[in-house]
Amino acid sequence: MAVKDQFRLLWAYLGMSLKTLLEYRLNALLFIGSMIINDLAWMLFWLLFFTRFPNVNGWDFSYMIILYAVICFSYGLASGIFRNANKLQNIIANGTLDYFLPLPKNILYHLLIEKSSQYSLGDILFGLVLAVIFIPIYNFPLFLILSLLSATIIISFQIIIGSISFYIGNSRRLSASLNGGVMSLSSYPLSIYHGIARFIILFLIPAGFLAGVPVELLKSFNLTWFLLLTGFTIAILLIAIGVFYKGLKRYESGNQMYVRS
Amino acid sequence: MWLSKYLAIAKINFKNEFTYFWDFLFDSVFIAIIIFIYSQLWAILFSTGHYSDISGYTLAMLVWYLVMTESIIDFISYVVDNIGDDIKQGNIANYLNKPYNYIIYIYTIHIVMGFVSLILTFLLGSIVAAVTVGGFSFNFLNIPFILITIFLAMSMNLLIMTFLGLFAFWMEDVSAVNFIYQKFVFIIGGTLIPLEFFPEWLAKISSFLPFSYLAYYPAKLFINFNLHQFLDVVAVQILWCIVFIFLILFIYKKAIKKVSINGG
Amino acid sequence: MINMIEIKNLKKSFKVITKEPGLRGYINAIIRPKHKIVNAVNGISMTIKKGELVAFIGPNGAGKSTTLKMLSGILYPDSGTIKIDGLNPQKDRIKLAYRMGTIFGQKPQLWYHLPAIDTFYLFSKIYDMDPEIYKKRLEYLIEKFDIKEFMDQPVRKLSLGQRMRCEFVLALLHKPQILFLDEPTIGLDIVVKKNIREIIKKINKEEKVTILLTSHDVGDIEDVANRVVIINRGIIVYNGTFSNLRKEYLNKKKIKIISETPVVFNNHSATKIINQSKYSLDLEVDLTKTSLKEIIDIIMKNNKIEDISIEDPEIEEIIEDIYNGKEMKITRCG
Repeated sequence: MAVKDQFRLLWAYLGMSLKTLLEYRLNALLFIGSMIINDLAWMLFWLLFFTRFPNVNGWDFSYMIILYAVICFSYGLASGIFRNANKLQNIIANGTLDYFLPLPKNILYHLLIEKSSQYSLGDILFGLVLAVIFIPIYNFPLFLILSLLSATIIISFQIIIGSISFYIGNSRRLSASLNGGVMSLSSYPLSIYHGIARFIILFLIPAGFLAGVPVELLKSFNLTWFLLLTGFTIAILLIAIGVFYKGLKRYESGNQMYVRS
Repeated sequence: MWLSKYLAIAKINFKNEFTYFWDFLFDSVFIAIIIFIYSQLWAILFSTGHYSDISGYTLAMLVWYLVMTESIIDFISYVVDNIGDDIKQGNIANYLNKPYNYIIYIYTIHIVMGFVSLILTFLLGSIVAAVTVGGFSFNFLNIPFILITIFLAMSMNLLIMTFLGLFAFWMEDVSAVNFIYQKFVFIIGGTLIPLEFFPEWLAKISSFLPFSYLAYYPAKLFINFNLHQFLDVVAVQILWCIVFIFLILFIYKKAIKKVSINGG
Repeated sequence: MINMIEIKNLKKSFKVITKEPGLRGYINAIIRPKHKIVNAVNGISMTIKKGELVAFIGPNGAGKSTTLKMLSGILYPDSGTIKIDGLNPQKDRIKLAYRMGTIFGQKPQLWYHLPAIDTFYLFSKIYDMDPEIYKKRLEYLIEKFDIKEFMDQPVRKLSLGQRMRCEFVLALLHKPQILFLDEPTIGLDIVVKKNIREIIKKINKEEKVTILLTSHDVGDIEDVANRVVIINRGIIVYNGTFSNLRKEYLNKKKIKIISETPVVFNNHSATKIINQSKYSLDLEVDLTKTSLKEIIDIIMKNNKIEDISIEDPEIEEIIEDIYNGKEMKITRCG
């Protein structure tokens, strides 16, 4: 299975999603626009917050800007290219998974790239613009690398959480809650958490590595933490793939329980 | 008589939803995480600033404020998408000439679900709040009043979402509209942070809009009950409900015209 | 002739949680769920030769879909073997996928908002088709299925019949050797159904594609398949040609008479009155208990017959009887 073929497939799917988006031009603008409005609203929120409370434990509005640049851009990338990671629990619970099984492509990869989020361009644009304005140009390559790592962590986490559906049968809302929860945890400065909570948020749920660590690295680079981040990313990706295929085996062996009344 | 019919429909839907008992619970997990985050945020704020209270809110009050706003707001806004689906799939055909019936149908189903969601979310949220910041002084005699303003807030929310949902007659996809609405409620509605924390100008704009009556005022009354304010709030809530009922009927009639011209 | 599909003693069962109705039921289902084992597929064996067009019918819950899912690699059997074109769907999933096409009647594969041609292109990438080969193949199929007119329009704007034609083009794009059709005519009106049936027959003959089709619609089977396999409660209850089916299971006939005088007829242990009015009588005769001649003799003795007609039962009734286990014969293909 040549890597080139995989790219061609991805390209074909992105083409389909873009065409679908353009089919309803006004709607496309609405989606992209509403995401940008959303991100702007959060920026406004933090601006107001810091106007009222100028200095909180060392972090300020500029910190939030960088945090949002990273999160918006990486989340936009993740949902733009591998959108179905966020919907994995639905795909399994609805049986849509069956569509991919008779097709001659790697199942996880294929199902992840099948859809692209209509909102993603909004996030990508917003994150990029923030980065261009507020991150010094010499740090820009680092920003891109960190965002890529962050996006990988997001997708990996979503795959793990989505795979719960292989075991519970319908984990749509649980998975959605957890995915949302982790993104929320990541959208706030790491330093508000302490003790056991901080440990959990950093290492068990990847919220800390998702955003907090990249932001710290952009503020002052530290090789150890960068290597930790890279290692963590690779680890969680491998775990995600493993969890998915284990669950898939279970699915195909059909020990799924159905509820009938 | 029609009341019993709609109650029966609500009961079936409630039962249907109760099959997904876990769903309601799991939805609340997200809220619990949010409450946890803010308890940490406010705690840091209070300790670095050495505040005992901010604009009259103690740390505990702030967190419980959030518990209440999230419990009220969280009630799943699939309403807009549901209505959108009803329209796209033509289920609404049965109701085309009976706008009152459709509104009541949607309302009955969702208000019941809303209250279940409210209770579950509040329970889970209270646990998080109690563990992180403890309790606050609350007069249990105020509960009936609080329930009234909550009921009106949820009704308002439902009516607004029904109104937005009807735009599916004109738009391919109403989900973006829902999305933006939620954000407005969050930021301007004072869901996350009480309006007192915002600059004057924002608070003033908010008072003209319905958003703050969806969560902020009920939660504020919960934290700090005041009979006079209660009466003011309730009056405005009822007013907004009436406004939106009219708006819904208006849009509905327009929609019927469109449908009969285009043949669905 | 080579065997395209070989199934030996296939078995698959599911654990099902049973829930009592009512509130107690909900609570019990959470605390102490009760299981029941359902043997969806309980020992199925059959072979399908290359180029055959086989119909697979059975009532809901009979095991059709489960079997089809095992064939297309969606589910793994608990025991038994499957060989498709010499390959095992479990071990050689991807290899087999290139040779196989599927149409699930209820789950379209064409993207709804875009023209069919876009999905065709996408699938050419999924099957790693060489662009030149894709182009030629597409031209051929467009002409064959006559879709040139509407393949550039968004699929949502097409009629059901047009959509199905495009779905078939999609399924055949990569020149599969086997085609699995699951309820391909479901929800279609009679004209479109006929159209689709002609297409299926055409594909089988001209493309030499082995086709396995499942359906609820007996008309699909009657018009289309050269062999029919009836499955009920997880086992095969009939495996043979359609004409044999009629012959073997023809144990009823319908007699319709119109009489000049008011009808006189006493119901018999071997007869069942379906319809009766003053001057007409519709009768069902059980040929295992009596002969046609006997009943006709009785009728003619007591009535002045104006018109009489004798009919075979509807094929649906035959099959329903088979479903209900009235006949449990299994015949091999003639």
